[in-house]
Amino acid sequence: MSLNPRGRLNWWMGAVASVSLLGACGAPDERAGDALESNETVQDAVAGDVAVKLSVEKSSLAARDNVLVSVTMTNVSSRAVRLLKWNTPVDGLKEDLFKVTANGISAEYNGRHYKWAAPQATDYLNLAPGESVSSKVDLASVYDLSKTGTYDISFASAAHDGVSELSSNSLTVFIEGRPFVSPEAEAAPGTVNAMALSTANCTSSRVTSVTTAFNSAKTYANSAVTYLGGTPSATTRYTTWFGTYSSSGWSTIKTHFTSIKSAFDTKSVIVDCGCTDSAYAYVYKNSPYRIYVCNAFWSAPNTGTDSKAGTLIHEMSHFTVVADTDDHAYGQTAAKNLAKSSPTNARDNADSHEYFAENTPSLP
Amino acid sequence: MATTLECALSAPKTVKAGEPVEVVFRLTNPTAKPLYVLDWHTPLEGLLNDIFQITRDGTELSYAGPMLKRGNPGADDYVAVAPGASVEGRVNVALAYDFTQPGRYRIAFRGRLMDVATQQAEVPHTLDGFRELPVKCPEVETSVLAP
Repeated sequence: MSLNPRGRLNWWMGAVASVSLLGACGAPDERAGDALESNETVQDAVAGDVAVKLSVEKSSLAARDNVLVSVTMTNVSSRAVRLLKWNTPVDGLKEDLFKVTANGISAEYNGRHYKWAAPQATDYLNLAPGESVSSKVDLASVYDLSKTGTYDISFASAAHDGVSELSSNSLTVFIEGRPFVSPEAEAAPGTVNAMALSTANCTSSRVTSVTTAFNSAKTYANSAVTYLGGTPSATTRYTTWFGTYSSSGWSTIKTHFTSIKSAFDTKSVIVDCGCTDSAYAYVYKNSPYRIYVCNAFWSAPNTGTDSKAGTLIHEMSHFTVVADTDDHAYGQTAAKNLAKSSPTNARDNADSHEYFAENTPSLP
Repeated sequence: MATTLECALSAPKTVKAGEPVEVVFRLTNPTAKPLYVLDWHTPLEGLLNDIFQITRDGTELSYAGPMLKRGNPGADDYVAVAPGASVEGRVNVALAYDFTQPGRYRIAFRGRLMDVATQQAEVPHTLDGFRELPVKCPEVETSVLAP
């Protein structure tokens, strides 16, 4: 096989261009001749001869996960057929063979493109009738999956010199955004800012803003603990966010804020700026103390209602080892209604903790 | 608002430990008017919150998936359900709940839609204008067998 790898090439705009470029080399005639001589009984697959099935082991992938897609190609025709290997992933992904979209927007292919010379017999994958070949590819290493969201993934190799298009089922996978790192590039180091706070995937201006928010969140946690250390009673601030007063309810909230304060003061918290979802932020409850901040976070004020600092309180309260809160209601109005309708759920609601801590407007 | 939506869950009767456990969530609109359902906290958006109550031989499982803090929704967060029509969401609950132990699992949807609108022009509602709608989906059972 004689390949001329060129790495990432800007002039190569996708699979369609390959047809004319190959044509420009004057190679097709030569290739067709060679291939026919060595493979007289095996014909090029035409549309419908080869079924392509994609599968993933998990339909929801965290940023730390690879995006491993299994590709199974089955000759469903009644004759032996052949495919050009570079239109398949059998030897690794060497072309933009997948259609990867999130909300209709294509993820950029950053993998290799090759300029192919005339194929030899060994460049073909032969499939007997009924025969299947499977291979796995990690799409995260070649497609830019930096946006968190639901991705549609299908196999879509375009027609190359007579081999008809292979297409597959479409997979729907939730992928947590991860910065695209070219396999050749070094992983960008995170920034360590203070004893307890580090950041990942943040620009320097975002590191500054996260650090400010982190310090304000600490202040919020301290103030909440101080407030709850006072004499328990049906204060306006408590009942607004957590409903009917009871000494056990007060004590639960005090325990929650003591844990939140302790986590901000003593744990290694990582704020990850890699998320581009429209939400404020998210965490995995069982993965303390990594907090992913998203688009709405950046337009939020540092302190006050639905602020950056308050969002960090909200997220910190979710961790199972901190306060193990859930999201029963979002927003101040719904949180206030929840306090009235279900104090039990209010005491388990992350936004209720956030609004109690933000205390905006200030309640006695 | 006299609206209602019918809800059904389905899951495989048995799976081997380690295999996906795909739960299908189906909402049907039995009314004569279209309804617009916010997909948050339902399998229509995937598995982005602790939306299922799942027990293994009576013990509740903890949720290990993502938890999001959200602002106001966008129009594309709503799913239209035509009169008499259904919409479906499929999630592999084994991604966020531990199904690795053999046993009998009962899976229940926690049972509410955060916001349902009757007029397309109304959506998206802001967070303080949500009209919550409880739905009852009969729970389903799955047995996980030793691999």
